[in-house]
Amino acid sequence: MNSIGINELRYMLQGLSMTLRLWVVSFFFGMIMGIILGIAKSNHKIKVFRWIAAAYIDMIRGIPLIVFILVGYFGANYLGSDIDLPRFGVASAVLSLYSAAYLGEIFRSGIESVHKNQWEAASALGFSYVQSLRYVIIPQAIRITIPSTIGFLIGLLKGTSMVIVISLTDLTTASRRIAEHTRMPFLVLGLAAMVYFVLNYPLTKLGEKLEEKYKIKKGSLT
Amino acid sequence: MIIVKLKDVHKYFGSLHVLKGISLSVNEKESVVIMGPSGSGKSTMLRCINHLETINSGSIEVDGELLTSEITQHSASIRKLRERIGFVFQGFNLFPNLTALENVSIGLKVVKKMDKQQAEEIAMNSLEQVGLKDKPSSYPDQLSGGQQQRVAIARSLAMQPRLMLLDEITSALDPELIKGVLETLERVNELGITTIIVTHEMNFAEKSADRICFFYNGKILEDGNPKEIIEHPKSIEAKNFFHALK
Repeated sequence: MNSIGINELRYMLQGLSMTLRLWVVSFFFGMIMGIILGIAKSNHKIKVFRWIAAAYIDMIRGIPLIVFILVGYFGANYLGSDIDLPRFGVASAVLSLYSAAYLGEIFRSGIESVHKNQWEAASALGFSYVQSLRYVIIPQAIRITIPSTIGFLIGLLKGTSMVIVISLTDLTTASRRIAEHTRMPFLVLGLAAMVYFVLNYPLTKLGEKLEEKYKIKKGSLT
Repeated sequence: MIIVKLKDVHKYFGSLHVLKGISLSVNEKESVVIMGPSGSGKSTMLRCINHLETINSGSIEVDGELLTSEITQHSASIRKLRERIGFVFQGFNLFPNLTALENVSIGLKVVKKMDKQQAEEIAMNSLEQVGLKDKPSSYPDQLSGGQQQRVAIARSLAMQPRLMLLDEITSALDPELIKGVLETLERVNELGITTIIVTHEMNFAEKSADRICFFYNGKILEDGNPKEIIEHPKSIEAKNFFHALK
């Protein structure tokens, strides 16, 4: 039986670093694609884009993340069987595509919850569709969507642990290996759980705070 | 010179016939007040002039631009036209996330591509014109309804419009706040900007307008001198309306 030493801790830290990278990268790209999807789905004039965005969002949201990761990994491997695909690349691509669907739906609801009279006020000043979105609608939509975006961010951090199915060494995968290696599963996995919790807890609190703030703001506007 | 010309305009909302053949010409620098019962099509006509609504038949020509139902909401020609037309809404429609000064200057920055300093200078002037030069950094929810509406007027004024459309701009205000907004409106009329004003304020119409158009059930029943129309309306509908208002 091995004890937990500096090497074990370092291995887990490397896992944590992978988790954080997956989290940040997939949130970043998911955000960019999500904004595009949200705009497309909220646009009632160009039906083709609206339809494509809606179909994409509905499809991704209907598939378990773990299946999506497996399909991404084995599917990509199958297509490029002679190339050894970097697991990190596949995992972050899948997590980005997954995030895009959820964030797209969040932004769609944010854009649509900005009152129609804001569009009209912008139009009356001579704003184009893009200018209206950029200067009037999106700044207001983002405020509205901050609490749900934070909620998604929390879920996404936990979701990254599913890369264990393709043996990518994130915090969960590393901890599991150390747990088996040291035969101290409660201690090691408990430690991993603590790390996830410590990362997420401030976000949870921040989300609650902002939601409260937004409520007050909304009340005083009417 | 005629700046707005409507010819036999019809507008439907689904099966509801809202405008039933409106014809109206407005000369430059004229101040026209539109009165009439709720639901008679006043606001709809105003929104059609700014192309916020498209008409079903007839024609509207605004400052040399022919508005047809084929023109989309954000086409370049409509945007150019809207730069020259101010629109003030019943519910103010200020941008709640921006200060008064930002509300007034954003159009100059985004549409007229002015730099920040120049835009804010003009915006400050406009705020001064509506009597709010001490409130540039207030957010809409920190202002009273009357102040918000004056910011909205300043937002239109800053764009230096040739025509201003004002849609029941005092209807959502408490009585004590209406006066300040109407005084602001009188100043707008004195600036020589053409105005088309939908309102129920009879005294304002009599004092400040060149003309009253009386709307009833999607048609213009009377069109002429304010004093004459209010005091000696020809139609029974106008008689009843003004009587109830008095």
